[in-house]
Amino acid sequence: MSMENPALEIEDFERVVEQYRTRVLRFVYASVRDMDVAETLTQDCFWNAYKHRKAFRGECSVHTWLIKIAINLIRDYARNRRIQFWRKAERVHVEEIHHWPVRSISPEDKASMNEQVQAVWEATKTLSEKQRTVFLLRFVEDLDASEIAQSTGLTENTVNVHLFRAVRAIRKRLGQQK
Amino acid sequence: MSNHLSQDQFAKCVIGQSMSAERQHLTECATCSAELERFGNTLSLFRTALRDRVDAQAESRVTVLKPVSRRSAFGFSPLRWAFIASAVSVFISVPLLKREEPKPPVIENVSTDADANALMDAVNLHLSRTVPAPMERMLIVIPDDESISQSGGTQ
Repeated sequence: MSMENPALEIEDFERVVEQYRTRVLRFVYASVRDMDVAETLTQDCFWNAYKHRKAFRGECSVHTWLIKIAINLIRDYARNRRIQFWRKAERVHVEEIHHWPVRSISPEDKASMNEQVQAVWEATKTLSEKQRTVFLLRFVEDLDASEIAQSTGLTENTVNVHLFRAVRAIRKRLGQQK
Repeated sequence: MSNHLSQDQFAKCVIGQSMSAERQHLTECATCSAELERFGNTLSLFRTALRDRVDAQAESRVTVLKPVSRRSAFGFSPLRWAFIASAVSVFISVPLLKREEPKPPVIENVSTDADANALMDAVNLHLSRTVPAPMERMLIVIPDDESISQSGGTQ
């Protein structure tokens, strides 16, 4: 886990990359839905963090700080290449998100799980940018409302509102697919 | 009115913003609590699938990066460096070889006085000719002016 003082933690940047790379990549991938783009943006995220590491005062955790940088990169990417962004998102194949290494699962259970995962995956696509970000940070990255607020620059109340709307929209979507 | 949680109430329960009345309902209603559990499991599956997907990508990236790490700092393989080195050596040696090529023989200029005199004689001889050199042989068959007048000449 992270050290007590995040400002000291950032000094060993190689360790920071090793520790947080997968988490940042996961969040970016879930946001942009393209692994190649996610890899590039994650790399940019760590590069930006490295360049500005002296400016990091340790007011939030390193993870929160990295997610904040990643959110800005995702936003810029979506803004600059909106057309390609959605075109690529449409191309993501059903199989792409499904990866169940556990072999003990029966084919029927696996099919059911795939269906549920795919339904959520599709439902997140319909959310607004803020709703999706908040939803992914809460339910994929396990951040609480205050951490999400720090990462996104929103207030905790606004985070909760977006989260509420996102959950409601996803459940509605899942209900439609049943 | 339904006896179960509404969409909004359900969403509040999912994000941990539920009121005491909703919590109370969940303890009493098996349908709603089962639905909440099912939704939670679905989100958990989604998280697991995403994590496994990214972990698999991270693993595959490690295997892809292994051969790259053997490369030099500039990202070129030794074979490519050898090719570049040979290309550079060819590029450098071509002008050198060109410089060492045997030059065509150059006719040396007249440098001695004897040669200069001989050349001047040849020039004078050439200038003193009444007809061009190739036509000199024809003068044998052409009679001169005197022989023409002695024989009566032609009219």
